[in-house]
Amino acid sequence: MNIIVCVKHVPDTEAVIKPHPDGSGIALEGSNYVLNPYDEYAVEEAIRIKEANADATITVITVGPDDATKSLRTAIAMGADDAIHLNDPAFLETDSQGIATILAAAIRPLPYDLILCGKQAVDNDCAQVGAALAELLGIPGISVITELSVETGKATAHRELEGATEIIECTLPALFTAQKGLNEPRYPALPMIMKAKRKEIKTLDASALGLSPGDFAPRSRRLKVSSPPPRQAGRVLEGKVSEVVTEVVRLIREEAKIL
Amino acid sequence: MELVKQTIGAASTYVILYVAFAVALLLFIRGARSKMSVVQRGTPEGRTDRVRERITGLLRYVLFQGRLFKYPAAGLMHVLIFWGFLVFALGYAFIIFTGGEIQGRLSGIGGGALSGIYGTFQEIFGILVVVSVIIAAIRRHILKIQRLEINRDADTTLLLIFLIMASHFVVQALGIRLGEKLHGWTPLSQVLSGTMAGMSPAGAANLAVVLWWAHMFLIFGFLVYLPRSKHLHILFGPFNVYFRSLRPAGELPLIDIENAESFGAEKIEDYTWKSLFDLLSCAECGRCQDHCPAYATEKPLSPKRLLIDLKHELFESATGGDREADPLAGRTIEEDAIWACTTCRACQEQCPIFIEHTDKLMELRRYLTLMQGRFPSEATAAFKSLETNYNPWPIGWSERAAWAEDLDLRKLDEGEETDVLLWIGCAGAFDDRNKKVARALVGLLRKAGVDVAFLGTDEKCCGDPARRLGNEYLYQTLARENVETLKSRKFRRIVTACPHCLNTLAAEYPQLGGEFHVVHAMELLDELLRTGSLKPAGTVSATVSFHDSCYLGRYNNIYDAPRRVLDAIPGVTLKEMKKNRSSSFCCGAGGGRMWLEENIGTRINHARIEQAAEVGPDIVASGCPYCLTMFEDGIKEKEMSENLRALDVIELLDQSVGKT
Repeated sequence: MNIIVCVKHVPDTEAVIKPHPDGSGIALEGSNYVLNPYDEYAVEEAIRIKEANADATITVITVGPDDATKSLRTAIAMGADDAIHLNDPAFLETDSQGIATILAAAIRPLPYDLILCGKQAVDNDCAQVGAALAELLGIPGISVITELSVETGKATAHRELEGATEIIECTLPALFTAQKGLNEPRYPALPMIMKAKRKEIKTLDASALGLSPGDFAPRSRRLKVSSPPPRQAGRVLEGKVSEVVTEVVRLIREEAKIL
Repeated sequence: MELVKQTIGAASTYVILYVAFAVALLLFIRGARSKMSVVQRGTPEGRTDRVRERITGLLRYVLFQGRLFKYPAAGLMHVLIFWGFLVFALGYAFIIFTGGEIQGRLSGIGGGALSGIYGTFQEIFGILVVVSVIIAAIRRHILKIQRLEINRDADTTLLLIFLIMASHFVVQALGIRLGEKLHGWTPLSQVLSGTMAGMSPAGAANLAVVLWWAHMFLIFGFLVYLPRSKHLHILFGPFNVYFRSLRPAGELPLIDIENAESFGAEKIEDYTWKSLFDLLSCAECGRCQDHCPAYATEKPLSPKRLLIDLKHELFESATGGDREADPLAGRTIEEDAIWACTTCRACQEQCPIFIEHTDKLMELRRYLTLMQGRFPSEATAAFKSLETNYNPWPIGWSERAAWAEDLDLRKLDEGEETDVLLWIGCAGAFDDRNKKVARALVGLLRKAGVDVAFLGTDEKCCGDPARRLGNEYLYQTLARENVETLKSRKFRRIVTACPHCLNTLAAEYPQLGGEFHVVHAMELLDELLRTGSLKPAGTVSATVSFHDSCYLGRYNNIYDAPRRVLDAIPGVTLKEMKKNRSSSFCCGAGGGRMWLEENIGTRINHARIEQAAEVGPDIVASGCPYCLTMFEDGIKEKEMSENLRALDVIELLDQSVGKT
């Protein structure tokens, strides 16, 4: 069985987010980048499937700058077999649709039974690549799963809905996007980390994928990024109950403008 | 012995004596060698340096039994049995090597004075040994002292010693009855002989001969029994003291990550030979268990049990065969026990023969973390945060200097110089409660006119939580980066308010080439008070109990400085807790436990807060951010906030100095 896991190298969730003063994007100087947490669930799920199927191989793929190899190595340290780095300066300017196009071009020539993605990347939170990729490959795409079981030629996944669990069966190959709760990702053992450091990573650019810039040109454009208005500190009203109540009503009317 | 020779002839006496001795010696050597051979299965470790210091240790801790007196009554009892053993052993050596009794051999010297002295010594120590053996039996069977488990081994030994002594005294008494003149002062033998007045001389002589042989055979029997019992400590204990660790207390062995193939202890052979020697030397006295905070709060860890279980594994695995090859962790030693240790070092501090319990657990943690990636799940968050944000809290690293934003504290950049480099530590930088302590310390150093700077966001976690949780790789990554940073700055010394940082920087960074002069804030403040640079003026009326933090006291031997600082504050009355100084009881947060849940048994911080409350202070003061956090939590959870507060000594001094 061939499993492909698509991952993204994202700023650490504790990184301090500040928009550029001109609103053109987010200043991420001083952030460290990590393997996207939702992609970790995807990698872990792939490893668990491999542990139950001796013949399975796991290939992790990312679209990203030079530095993104770090996240590929994290995935290898966890237990992935191979890694492909789709790296081309032109790739950095595209949108979710473009990323899915690039991934699809890389995946098409490969044998695959199962594709796993995180449900979304924690940087831009678009949650589109998984679904778009399934569409481009023409395979079933089941998003936001919390449980997965794979048999010969088919798979069953659970999706948590509000107050209900949806159970979906589909044929393979298929794509699934991982939600928190799917599993508890492992912490890599040191010998695996050392092995991952030395692992050769295959790098492909646009021409190697047979793509021209027009194929993955962004179809959406970011206009502006700004901070939410700062939250004001809570206020404590003191005095007689009747006065406080009068003041609260006034504040609700005049400041919060709820009434 | 003369009587024996007269009765059965000198020749037969010697034949029986030497044949019996030879057989006993052979069996003794065989027993000891079979024990020694298992030790050889361990990995190499150098323990033969600093010979003078090692020999001094033998005198202090073996001959004078220095550490046994931490339990005064038991210590006295033990030292009497030990010295008695030495006095009697000298006598037996004379019999074996000169073919006659020591008093007889010595009687020609100094007009019999020497043999008189020996006789007196023998009598006195003999009596003391009998008394001690009886007390030891009472402690085990009637008082049922918890740390001394009742086992056949201990009872057999006590009985053997008692019979050896009893036969000795009866033989002496029979000698007197037969008109022999004993050397020296022998009151018990005299009294005993008085009860034998009715005995016929022939009967007395026969009994004396029989009992003399019985006595000698008991001695030989003891020799044979010794290497096969826990009383092996008589033989191995002194060597264990000699080969004790002379490394800094807080320095864990360094792993060569690039070249090692496996990490930590998977199998018993992965321990060093000295670590295995520890197992054989253990006398199972239970002092370690008695002082273990994990054991005291119903965790599945007892340092004594750890040693016994590993010892059994050592011998079982030596028998070979196709036994299960599962790792030690989880099979021989429960995983919960491995993670329960706070590395407080109370066990090692108490051990009379310097057994190293903590390192054994650390090697198991290293195996679990590095080889299996298996540890309590809470540690994952701490590890990941340490990897990406260089602190165990889930806070971005770029926030590290936020606590000092309004203080105008100088950031020391590459190539710059300062007198004192303030090492804040993650707690001081990220934990709101401990930020206050860091700010108070800056204030005090400024008032004292100290030239001080800090590393701002260039400081990273010292690595202690990672190292103590077995993650040597992460520790070395952080530590090497810090060593580089520190080497690129110029300073006379580093001061830190965190004993864990202190220990890591001072005791562990030298392994990675970082040799820095590091002091704890208590030491610097003590010095500034002594030189008059700081003058506490305001009165702080409070009864204060000082809690000795493990990494300040037991690990780095800083006991007096914080007490002197407290003493210097007008109005402060110091009230010691029962467990203080080297016998202090951990707050529960060491060894990376700060980052793990404590969901087995009762809570260690609650136990310590109760111990503080027993002596009724207003304030429990400490010199460690972890302790402060644990005490604040403990006081809140036990709803004792009205009567008890937790403060850092720095804050108390700041209150007083600040009042000027």
